[in-house]
Order: sequence, then structure tokens, then C-alpha cells
Amino acid sequence: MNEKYHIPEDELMQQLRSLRYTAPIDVTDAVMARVSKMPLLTPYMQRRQRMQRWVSAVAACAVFAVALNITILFTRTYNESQISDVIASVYNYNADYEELGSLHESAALEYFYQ
Amino acid sequence: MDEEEVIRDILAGNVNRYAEIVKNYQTIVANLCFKMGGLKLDIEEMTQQVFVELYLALPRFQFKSKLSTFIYRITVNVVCKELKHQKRFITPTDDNPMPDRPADDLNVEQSIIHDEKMQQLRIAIGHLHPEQRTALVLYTYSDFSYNDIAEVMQCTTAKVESLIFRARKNLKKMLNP
Repeated sequence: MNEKYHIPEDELMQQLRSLRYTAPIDVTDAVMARVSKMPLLTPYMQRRQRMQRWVSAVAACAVFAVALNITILFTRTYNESQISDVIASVYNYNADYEELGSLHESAALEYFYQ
Repeated sequence: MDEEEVIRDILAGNVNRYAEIVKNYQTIVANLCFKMGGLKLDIEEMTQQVFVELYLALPRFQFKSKLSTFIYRITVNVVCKELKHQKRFITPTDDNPMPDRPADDLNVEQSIIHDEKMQQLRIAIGHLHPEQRTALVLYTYSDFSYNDIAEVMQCTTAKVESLIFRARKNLKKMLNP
């Protein structure tokens, strides 16, 4: 033992040693009631359970990565102005269509596709 | 009681024999929870929790160390986990009774002073760093060597020595500011 860390048997140590739980305790029945419902897993089963958790975690990560990849691909393929063009064209289409609301539907569509 | 035989019996499916282990070690586990938990823990609930965790960990016991060491390690882990979960101090309750008085011939005044001292000691222990607290509390068990403590805490003996030394120093500072 390193002399630097010598611990003298003083009052503090005696107090620490005398500190103890004094109330009577009997948890046997409570513990037995709880453990009797639990399956006792062998090391092999525990390893298998751990492996299953790993597999699910890896699968979740893979799904997330694919979703992220699709988002990145989409934003790279269509730049911001292209995306706003698409939105604007949809908006204009709706506006034009509403203007022709009083006309017959087929006529309106014919007018629109001219 | 041959512990190895009992454990092998339990692992073979005779769960009822687990009661023997609980009966044998419950006082030791309750004491360790009481010493380590400061004023924060419900000792009976913690003792139950330790034995449930021990039961689940039993298939991992490899008979290389003593069962008591294995139980101490699980108790330390369960208590530390619970304390981390709570992260707060609660006032003493009836579930945390005062420790034994050293002798019956103490008068009332001396008993009150002794109880107060012990209460302060428990509060101070609760303020120690978990590693320091564990090492110091285990050191107070006379049958525990530095090697046993190192085995329970899964660290080197040198680290245990320094942890106990620092824990004692901090405890003294807290009790005599």
C-alpha cells in the first residue's frame, strides 16, 4: 500500500463503521414474487437478445439514411428556382381554372390547353 | 449453504432456491444501500431491486469470484444508477431510520447528539462523488481488502487507495468546515 494514502483509524472511520441499517428487513417474499414471473436468460439467449436489438438499431439507421439520401438527391436535382417554378405553375393553373369557372368544364379545359 | 450448488440449481430451473440467497444476503445489501444512499433511498425498495437485478445477472456469474463480491458489485451499480436517476436530496423519512446507538448506557442528550452526528455523516456521504463514496463505504467493511474493493469497482488498487484518501479528506472538510 502507498504510504501517501495511509488511512488512520480515527473517530471518523469509527463513525463510518458504526453506521448501519437498523430496521428489520425481510424482502424474501417480495423478491420471490417478482422473480418467479421472470424468465432466467442463459448467456446464449442474452447474446441473441442483444444481437436482435443491434439488428433493429442498424435497420432503423439504414431506413433513416435512405430517407436522407432521397431528400438530398431531390434538392440537388431540382434547384430552388426550379422548385419555385413548379409551385408557381401549379398556382397559375389553379388561378386560370377558377377564372373560367362559369364556362362548361370541357370548354374550360380546351381553353386552358390551347 | 454451498453457494455454487445453489446457483447451479437455480440456473437449472429450481427458482425457489433463490430465497436462500436472498435470506443470506439481504441484511448486507440493505446496509450497503443505507450507507451509500445518503438520505435519498427507500432501503427496502432498493434491496428488492438489487435482488431482482442479481437474479437476472445470475447466468453471467462465472464462479471465478466470490458470490458476495458479485452481489456487492450489483448493489453498487443499482444504487449509483438510482442516485443518478434521482439527482436530488430528499428530507429524511421514516424509511430511513437512524443508525444504531453505540451503547445502551448513553443518556437521552448523548443519544440525540449521536443521532445528529450520524445524520450529518450520511448527508455528507451523499455529497461525495459516487466513486469516492463507493470506495470509502466498501472500505468500512472490515472484511474488505483493497483488492476486493478494486474487484467490485473494476479498477486498480492504486485508484482505490487514492479514492478512499480523497473521500476521507472531502468528508472531513464537509463535517468540519
